[in-house]
Amino acid sequence: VIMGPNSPTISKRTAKRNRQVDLLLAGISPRSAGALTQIWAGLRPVIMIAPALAVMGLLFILPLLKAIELSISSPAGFTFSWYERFFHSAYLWDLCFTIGISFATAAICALVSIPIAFIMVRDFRGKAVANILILFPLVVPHLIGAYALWLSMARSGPVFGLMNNLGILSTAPDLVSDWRGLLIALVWKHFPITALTITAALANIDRTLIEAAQDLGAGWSTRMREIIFPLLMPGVLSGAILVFVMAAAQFSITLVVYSGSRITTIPLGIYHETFGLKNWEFGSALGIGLTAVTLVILGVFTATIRRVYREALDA
Amino acid sequence: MLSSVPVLAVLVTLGSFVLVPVAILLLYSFSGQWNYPSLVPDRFTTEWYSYLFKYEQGLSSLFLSTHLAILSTFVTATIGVPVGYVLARYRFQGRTLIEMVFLAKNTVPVIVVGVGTASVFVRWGLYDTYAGILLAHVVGALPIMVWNSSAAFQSIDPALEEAARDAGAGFSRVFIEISLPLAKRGILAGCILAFLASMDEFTITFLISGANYTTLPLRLYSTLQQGYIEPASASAMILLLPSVLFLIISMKYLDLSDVSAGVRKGA
Repeated sequence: VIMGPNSPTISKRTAKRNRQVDLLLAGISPRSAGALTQIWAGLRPVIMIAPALAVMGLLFILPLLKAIELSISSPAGFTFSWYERFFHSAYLWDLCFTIGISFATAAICALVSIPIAFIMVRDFRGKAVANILILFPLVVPHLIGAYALWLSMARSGPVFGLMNNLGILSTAPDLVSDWRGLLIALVWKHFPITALTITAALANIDRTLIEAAQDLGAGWSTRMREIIFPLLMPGVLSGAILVFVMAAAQFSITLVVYSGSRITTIPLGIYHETFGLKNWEFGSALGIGLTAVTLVILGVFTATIRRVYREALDA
Repeated sequence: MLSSVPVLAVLVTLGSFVLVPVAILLLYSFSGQWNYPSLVPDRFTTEWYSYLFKYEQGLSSLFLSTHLAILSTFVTATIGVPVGYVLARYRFQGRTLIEMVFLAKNTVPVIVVGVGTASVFVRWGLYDTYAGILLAHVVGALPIMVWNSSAAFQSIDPALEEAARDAGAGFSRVFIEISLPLAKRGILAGCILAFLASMDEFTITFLISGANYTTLPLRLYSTLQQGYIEPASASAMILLLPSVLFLIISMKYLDLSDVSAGVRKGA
């Protein structure tokens, strides 16, 4: 007969001992045996996350819901007209431009980071300095990085002055308020992300696979093509998608190096509509539209990475 | 084995791409006169820095940004580190949802959140207030702090905490005397990233502050818009100091793994 702690046939002392044994078996030390203490222990993680979750709820989720609500509201009530207007305005081109320049930024960041990663996985003199060079744009405030590049790309600035002196370039291209200038600034700020992820992916490749291929007579290019690149691709793509999302959301860099141009990016358009023209509903529709497009691309891309990764594992 | 010539070529290209713009910024901040096409200014001066420190508005912006960054780092660490611990140690229902909230922050463009924030802040009376700006800075840095401290707690062997618990130490004693000291590098790195995020925060502050509160990045932007290149360069160099200090600290005391979780998942 199994007797519960509340059974009247056993003494209080035995009941207490039984409960302690039960708790010990359940992995809970007898010190925390009281029912209140147990409830407290269960509540502890809730209390630990509650303040942060409240802050996220009030200052991230609520504003996001507010933007969604604004984007579907009009004086007459519910409406989709702001989204219709989005798809029938020049902002559709701006959306294409935003996606295009972010895609180009991600691709260039990934491409320049591959040789960097091959260098950074090895040990060499001055590696600490190289590490700092890579981390530097990441920690420089966005506004300052953008401003420094804006100064450097100015037609009458010292960079083109030097090129002119050396006879490399006779007429300087106008990079300020041009898509090429924006692309350079976005790559400057974001390549550390791909450099870090691709270096980590390369460092994680099992050396014995490469050695085995070498033993089987695979040359340098075969090893690269058949072993290293397939295994590196998930790292390259996940770094690139991170850069894509960040570039598509970029506001401050674009504001400094790209303002005044006719075709603009959606984040600049949102600012122009809300704070410039006081059309908060339309500005919010632009924002929610951009978020939705970014999330869809992110989802498709992540699914592709998973598939590529699984193929790499199967191979 | 790659030869060292291409390695050197890649590193020199990387170095000049990264450093030349900042070098030009530095030169502009000391430039008294700079005529095209000189490589360096024709006359050097420190007047832009003394201008920044003498000019009352510049000084108040510097002061505002500094104590906002300190206070928001403190608040972010106080509420964010416990979340990092819970995510590292507990398995419970709704955990994925909580992770999603902290991950979703960097998939939504900050300007979209900013527009929503400005709109609710007007209604709550937080528009252009210190508390409102502080909250915005906290929410900006919170995911970085959560992911960085979570990674730091995860790297601690749970057996150490269990041993302390078996020896009779209560939860808070184990947390304060065992877990926190062992995770201190990751948490410190998270604090530095949170401080830098506050110094960097422009977009939301730009949307939720009016005439009363002008942080250093906002001051820099307005100086820029007025076309004062040299004074703007000087305040940009001041704003750059914490980042440079961070790099020095990270080179001496931290390594890349201490910051990678926060940078990858929260920045």
